[in-house]
Amino acid sequence: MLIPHPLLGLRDAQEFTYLGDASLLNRPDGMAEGAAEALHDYLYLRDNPAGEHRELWFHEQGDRSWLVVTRNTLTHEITQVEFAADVARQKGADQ
Amino acid sequence: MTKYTLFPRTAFGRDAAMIDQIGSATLSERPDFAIASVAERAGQGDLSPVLTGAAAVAVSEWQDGLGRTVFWSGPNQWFVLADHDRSEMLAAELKTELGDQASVTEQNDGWVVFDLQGADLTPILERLCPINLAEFGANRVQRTVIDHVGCFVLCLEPGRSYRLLCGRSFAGSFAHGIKTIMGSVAV
Repeated sequence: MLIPHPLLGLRDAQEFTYLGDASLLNRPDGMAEGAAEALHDYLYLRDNPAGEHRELWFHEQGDRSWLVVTRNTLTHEITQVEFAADVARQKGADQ
Repeated sequence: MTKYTLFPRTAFGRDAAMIDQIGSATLSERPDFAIASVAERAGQGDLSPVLTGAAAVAVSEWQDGLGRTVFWSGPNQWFVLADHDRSEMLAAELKTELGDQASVTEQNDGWVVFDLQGADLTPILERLCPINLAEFGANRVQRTVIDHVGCFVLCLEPGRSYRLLCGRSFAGSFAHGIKTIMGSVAV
């Protein structure tokens, strides 16, 4: 599988390590009301879609950037790749 | 006068640099480099023109300037190589130049520099790493894996001259992996 890195172009998936669902970027506020429940859900509950999935990949043997890869789990087709930093920054700006 | 009782050793535990010629290719250790890495602090813009004293360093490229080699190692991050005798305190020099704009880490003795030179190195490198050598021209750099060891490969002259960096404690395994392929290609 080739992952189209936003800066470096197509790179072999062997260069990357996989972390998991990109929802890991949305860490709940540990000091807020109901934090225990929110952190439980954050930590343990994941969707397991057959189809489009947003997931975190680390370019370990490359530029060592974290990426959010949108991949179809049925076909392995990759439709979008973004820097996780940009996604997190955008999310912060939207709030 | 100070009487020194401790003497520097190379990454191979020797007094002099490791050098090995197999077939038409030569792998030589280069202990004469001072090394530092620079990471831009948020919102400072591209600092590579400051490092080279000239143009910016493009993604996946290296450039010489101010007696240094500056290469791209990641978004807003660079490695700097300089002559060890002239700039042993390279990290301190860079920190003075950059101040709060960047975080500078001393990498002397963290990495080992090798030069790989020969008449035709493409058959060797294509067996060692997944770099697309057809488009890996002069001034290009790529972080990759050679014999399970993460490393940087800088192209000085396509097919004929490359500079490699790996973690110092991997020097023996790294050189062994490269020499094995040099040997099998030479046969």
